[in-house]
Amino acid sequence: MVTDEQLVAAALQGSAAAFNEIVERYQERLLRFLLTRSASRADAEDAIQDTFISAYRYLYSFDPRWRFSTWLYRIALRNVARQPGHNALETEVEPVDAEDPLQICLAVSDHENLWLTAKRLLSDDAYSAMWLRYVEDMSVREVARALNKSVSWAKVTLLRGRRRLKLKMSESASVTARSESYG
Amino acid sequence: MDEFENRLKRDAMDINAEISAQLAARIEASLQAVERIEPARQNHSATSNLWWASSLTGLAATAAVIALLNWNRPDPVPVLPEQTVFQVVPDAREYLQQIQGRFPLRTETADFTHGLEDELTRLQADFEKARENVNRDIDFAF
Repeated sequence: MVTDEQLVAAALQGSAAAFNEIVERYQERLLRFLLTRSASRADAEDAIQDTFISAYRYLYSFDPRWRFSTWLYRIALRNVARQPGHNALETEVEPVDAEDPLQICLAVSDHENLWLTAKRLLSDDAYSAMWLRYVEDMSVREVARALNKSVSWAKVTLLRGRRRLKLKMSESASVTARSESYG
Repeated sequence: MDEFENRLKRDAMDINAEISAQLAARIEASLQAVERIEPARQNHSATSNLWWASSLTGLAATAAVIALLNWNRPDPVPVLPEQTVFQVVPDAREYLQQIQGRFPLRTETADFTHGLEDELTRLQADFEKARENVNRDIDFAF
C-alpha cells in the first residue's frame, strides 16, 4: 500500500491523482472530527474544504519527518479556530444542545456517546488531544505537534482527560445499574 | 487497548460522517480551481557571488581597521621594574627600626581629676534625688 508520504511526494511532482487519493483517504475521518469541533454541519463542511485547499496549496511546506495526518489535522484545527462561531461555542457554559451537529449525526444508542460527554467536560484543546490520540492513533509527540503544544502539556492533558471521562463513565454505569435494580 | 479506548473508537465511529456527493464535488472543484504555491527557487550563482563579495568586503574592512589602529597607536607607557618599587618603599619593620630613637616619644599624665570629681558628685546627687522620688511614690502607692 502506498503511504501518505509517498502520495505527497507524487503530488509534489504534479500528480493530481495522488492528491485525490489523499482526499479520498482523509475526507471521512476529517469530517468526523470537524463535526465534533464545528458549530454546524455546514461549518464542518466549509472547514474540510478549506483544509484540503490549504493542504494542496502549501504542500511543499509539509515536513516528511512527521506523519502527514499530523500536518493535515493541524491545518484543520486552524481552520476551525478561524470560524466565527467557534469562539462563541467556547464561551458557552453548556455547549451541547439540540442543534449540535454531533448530536444529530450520532447513531441511536442505549448509552450517551462518550465524545458528547467529552465535549461537555473537556476544553477544546483537551478534546482535540483525546480525539487525535485515541481515534487517530497519534503518538503523544504527534498530538503535541498537531495542537502546537509541548509534549508535557499533551501528556498531562491526555491523562486528565482520560481520568475525567473514565470517572464519568463509571458514574453513568453505576446510575444505570441502580435504575435497573429498582426495575 | 483497554475497554475505555475501544469505547472511544466505537463511539467515534458512531458519528455519521458520510461525504455527500455534493460535498465531494465541491472539494474536487475547489482543488481544480486552486493553484499550488511553489517554493521560491534560489539562484545559486547569485548567492555564491554575494557570498564572495561580502567576504572580500569584510576582509578589506578588517585590514583597514588594523592599519588604522597601528597608525594611531600612542607611545608605550614605561613600566618600572619591580625592584625599583621595593627600593622606593622599604619594608615597614625596617623603616621603624631606622627611625627608632630619632624622635623623642615622652608622655605626661593629664590632669583631669578635678572636673571628673565634680561630675561624679553631681551624678550622685541626681541618683539620690531619684531614689527619694521612687521611695515617695512607693509610700503613696501603699
